[in-house]
Amino acid sequence: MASEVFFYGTCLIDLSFPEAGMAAIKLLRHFDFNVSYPQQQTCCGQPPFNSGYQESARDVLRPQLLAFEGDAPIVVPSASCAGMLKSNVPALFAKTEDAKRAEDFAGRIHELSAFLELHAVSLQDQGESIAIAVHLSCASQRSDHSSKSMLNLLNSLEKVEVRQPKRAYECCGFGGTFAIKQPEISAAMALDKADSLLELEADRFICNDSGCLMNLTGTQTFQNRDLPAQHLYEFLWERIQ
Amino acid sequence: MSEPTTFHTRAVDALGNPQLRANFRNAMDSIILKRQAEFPDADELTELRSLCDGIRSRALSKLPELLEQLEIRLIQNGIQVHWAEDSKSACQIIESICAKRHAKTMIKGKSMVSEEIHLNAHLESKGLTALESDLGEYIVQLGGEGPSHIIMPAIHRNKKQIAELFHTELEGVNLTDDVDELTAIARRILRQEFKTADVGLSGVNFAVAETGTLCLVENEGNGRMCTTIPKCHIAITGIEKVVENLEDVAPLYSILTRSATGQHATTYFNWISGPRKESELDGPDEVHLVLLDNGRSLIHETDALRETLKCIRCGACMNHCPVYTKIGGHAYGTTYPGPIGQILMPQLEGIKARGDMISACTLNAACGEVCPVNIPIPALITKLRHEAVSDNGSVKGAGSLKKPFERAIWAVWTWLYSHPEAYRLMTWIATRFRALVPEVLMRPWTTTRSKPPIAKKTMHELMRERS
Repeated sequence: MASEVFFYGTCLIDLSFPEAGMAAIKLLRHFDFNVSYPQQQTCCGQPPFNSGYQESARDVLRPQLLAFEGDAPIVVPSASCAGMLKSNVPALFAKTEDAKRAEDFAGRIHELSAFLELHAVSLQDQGESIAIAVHLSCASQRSDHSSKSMLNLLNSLEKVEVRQPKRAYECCGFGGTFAIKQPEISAAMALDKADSLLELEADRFICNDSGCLMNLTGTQTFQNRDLPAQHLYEFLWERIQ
Repeated sequence: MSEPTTFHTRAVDALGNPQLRANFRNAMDSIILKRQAEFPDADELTELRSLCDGIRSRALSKLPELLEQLEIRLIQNGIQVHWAEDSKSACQIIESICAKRHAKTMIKGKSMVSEEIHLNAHLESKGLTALESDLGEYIVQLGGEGPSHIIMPAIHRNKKQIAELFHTELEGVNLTDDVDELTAIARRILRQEFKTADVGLSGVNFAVAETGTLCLVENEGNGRMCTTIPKCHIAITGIEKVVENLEDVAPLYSILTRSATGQHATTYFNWISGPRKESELDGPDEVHLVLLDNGRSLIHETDALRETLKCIRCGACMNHCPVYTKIGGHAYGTTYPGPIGQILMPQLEGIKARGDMISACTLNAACGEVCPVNIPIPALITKLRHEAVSDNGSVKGAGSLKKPFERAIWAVWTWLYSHPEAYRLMTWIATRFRALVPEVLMRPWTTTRSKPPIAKKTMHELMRERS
């Protein structure tokens, strides 16, 4: 029997990379999950929370806590948003009337790669040989460690050669509002990361978090560089077709 | 001290200096690898970190008692204890110790607290000379600068730049970038100063309450010289550096040197337990300890931010910070730069004075991952950002970064994102008119990047169509 999951698409996927979100849902359905996508979802609240506006983050999250009520796991195709929802939501709502609801909500959050690995899925690579340059977000490397699951999934694809840049641990300079508040530092970091990804001479650039993806492809395009980019989950879905 | 420039202008200047950026990049790359090599076993590191975290947390949880005990033991050991509420009083205490001894010259070991209180400038204004004897500190003093890193003060300069500095600033020194030769030149000069200085000053890494012992970690032997050759030794430290027991020192020392410089042990470790005893040949006649508060008690009182004081000043957070690596330490314009500076300085000097640098963090958490005592630096930065715009914060200068325009933007954003129907309408409009949004409205994002993509249809819409 197919088990039920909620899908938390994230606001960047909603507006900028819906094809990645749709691919993620296809992946989940492919592995026999029944996916529901509450239309009441908006944003995980990270932009105001990280900027110091905790009350705004609470206001944005409150209706969403209701929209995801139930027992089903909540699957998020972003380590950054998953980290926010899992780690910061309980503390944000502690001592409020939504405290219990927030804890229950946070307890059901899973980043998609980690969720797939948890359910021991196996990917059958159907594509041609390809070399990919991979950037894994800081949140996936240091907050929930889902980068390990992501690399496992990518490495399980037979004809995919995974290349990681030097200083793979280093941030790409996105940082949400950081990119707006410290544009020069952000740009210098993005260019460094873009350079090291280009150096890998891969066929395609794959990234697991929409913020980094937007930052790095935006930088490559601005520099007139031709490195086709794709969100991790769109790539994974494409490979198993 | 007033700063003529802002964090932002200094950072932009640094970004435009390729030599400076290369110096930091190379130095940080190498120190990251050295640290990594010292911690081959992740489980051992986790265990040691939590042990050290426990030691520091325990010390902070009984800070007042431990400080009292420390004072009693120090006095029993013959060390004179002075309490300094702020920079000014610390400077005056040191000045008056010097005055009593008719001292005119001071030789200094490395001490970030002495930088924090701007001791050199104070003593010079009173007609005393204070000479730095740590090689890095000696270099920055020659260059008329402050340290750009808390462990490696002159790391912003490469050897060619140091060669030029020695050649122009020191009499009779030929231009050479041979590191051994440069070191020998400094050693020759400093050797004379050690012999003649009236007072030696040092910092403290750990002050042991149980025994009244001052621990000093160093590599060059200059720390030992400063604390043993002059007839008077003044040590200065922040009140948070106290630890409870002698046995607390070993794990802290081990994690400190490995985190800081990637060394298994430093060349020197000094246990200072008092002035020269009658039977002893060497050592100072007088030893003083200045215990500096300078805002630390206030941090200690604020539960949510107290963990800031666990810091053992290893500098690993800055070594791993991608922002620090890009702009270097001087861009921060503060005694303590990088992540620890970003959480410490706004608390010590107030958010109004030092809040501008808290936005210079992507929350990538590299600092928190390497902190040897588990200080949750990213969470504390987020907390300070909250204090900066909050109406009822507890940190000095809370609320001083409130900007009406920014507030208005967040108010509109919050309304849209907390009303799902309005949010869906807004995103629907954005997808339909996406080509019409002028690039100029998306600056500064589009100054160095192409426009962020907006899809033809949102995921919400695609999902509605499917069902």
